Amino acid sequence: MKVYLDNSATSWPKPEEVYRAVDHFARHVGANAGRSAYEEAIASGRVLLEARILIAQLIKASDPAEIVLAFNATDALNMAIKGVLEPGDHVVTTSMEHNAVMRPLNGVARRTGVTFTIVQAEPTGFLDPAKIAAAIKPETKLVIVNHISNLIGTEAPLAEIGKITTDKGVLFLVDAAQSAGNTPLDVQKMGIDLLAFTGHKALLGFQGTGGLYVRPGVRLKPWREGGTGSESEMDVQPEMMPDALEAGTANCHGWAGVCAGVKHILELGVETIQAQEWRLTKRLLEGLAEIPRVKLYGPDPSVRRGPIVSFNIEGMDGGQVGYELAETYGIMSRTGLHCTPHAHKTVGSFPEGSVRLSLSHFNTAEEIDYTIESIRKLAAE
Amino acid sequence: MTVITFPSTYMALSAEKVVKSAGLEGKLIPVPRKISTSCGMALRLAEHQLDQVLALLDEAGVEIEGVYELADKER
Repeated sequence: MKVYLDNSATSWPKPEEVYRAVDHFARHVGANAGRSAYEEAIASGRVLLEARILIAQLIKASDPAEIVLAFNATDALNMAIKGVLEPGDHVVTTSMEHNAVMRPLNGVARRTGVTFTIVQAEPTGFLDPAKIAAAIKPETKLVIVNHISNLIGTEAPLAEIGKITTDKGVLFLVDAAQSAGNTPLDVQKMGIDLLAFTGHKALLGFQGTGGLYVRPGVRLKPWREGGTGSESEMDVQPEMMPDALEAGTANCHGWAGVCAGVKHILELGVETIQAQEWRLTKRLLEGLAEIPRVKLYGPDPSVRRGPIVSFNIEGMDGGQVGYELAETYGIMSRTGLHCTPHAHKTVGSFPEGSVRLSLSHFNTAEEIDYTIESIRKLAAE
Repeated sequence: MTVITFPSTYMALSAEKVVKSAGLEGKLIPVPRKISTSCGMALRLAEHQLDQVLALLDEAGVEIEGVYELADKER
């Protein structure tokens, strides 16, 4: 039996229609978007427009022009962080962030003298909005919060934080790499100014797609400058969105896949996907909790979270556990630090790291039971 | 021939979608170089539908750059 439980790295399998959409684009469209006006080139442009429309619908953005297409969530986070911050600015972020936030933030801090405060989450991953409020200073420009932890799946209280940032006139950037597609998002109701997403995880498309929602009125310095197919006589980047932040050839066939993925999600409903994934995740958590020697990280198994479970087997190296799971049992997991050392320190799994199992709604109860049994056998060795 | 030009590809493609969804004529064509415009695509439409198209685009928040009347050979 082969069981794929590495969906937080990239989702697999994809819905049938995603494979078909990419294949169709590659064979029958092929052309570059936004640069020419023959039918195939226009069709390619329509794919990008459709991607913006569908993603805007998914995250409840008011205008598809607010959806900037990028190459992954890291690209989008760099675009936001480096586009917003000026020397002298202060940033509030949390101990649950991925290196895709921590590294650009530290880079900006080192180069320009931006300062930042890391708000400590509880060992369960719980983030107290009051602590965010308390960390905001007069010079604070930006608050950055990871929506769903890529380590333990816990969900940050976005609406509460968004209310605080709105009241204080501070920009709110959400890292939705693990949540866009499997957790309800409403950028308007949640007071979100900037939201970075990826196309290849819960949006069910392929690698090389990601993007940034930018609330109307928020101006970012361009992070990538170059050809847009518009205002071509000008030597400088156009100011109009989305061209202001998009330069160079887009991953058109990739976006054809994301369109099909988001349609699949909208047809099923994000809430349905979330409920299905939680049923499986809870089953996994409860099963693992009964195994002696297995240490689970994060809150009690009854607390709902994203489809991500981290554990270790006492006395066994995590890398060895991951290797045995793959080689002996055909279970694909991820081991190590998952690019999030601060979150490991928060939950108590630093420096050893953890074994991470991450699910999608395509997993089955049978696969989960097989995984629990396999880990039970491994822990009994 | 009546054409509408746009400030960006995004707006040109949005215009095409709005016009076609309403069942009106609209085809994206390369902008004749004699017209100075930000975006290389223009929307060619039926002259008698111009007012209707402009109203639809306005309602949908699609920004346009200009409206041009061209002799067919200028195409």
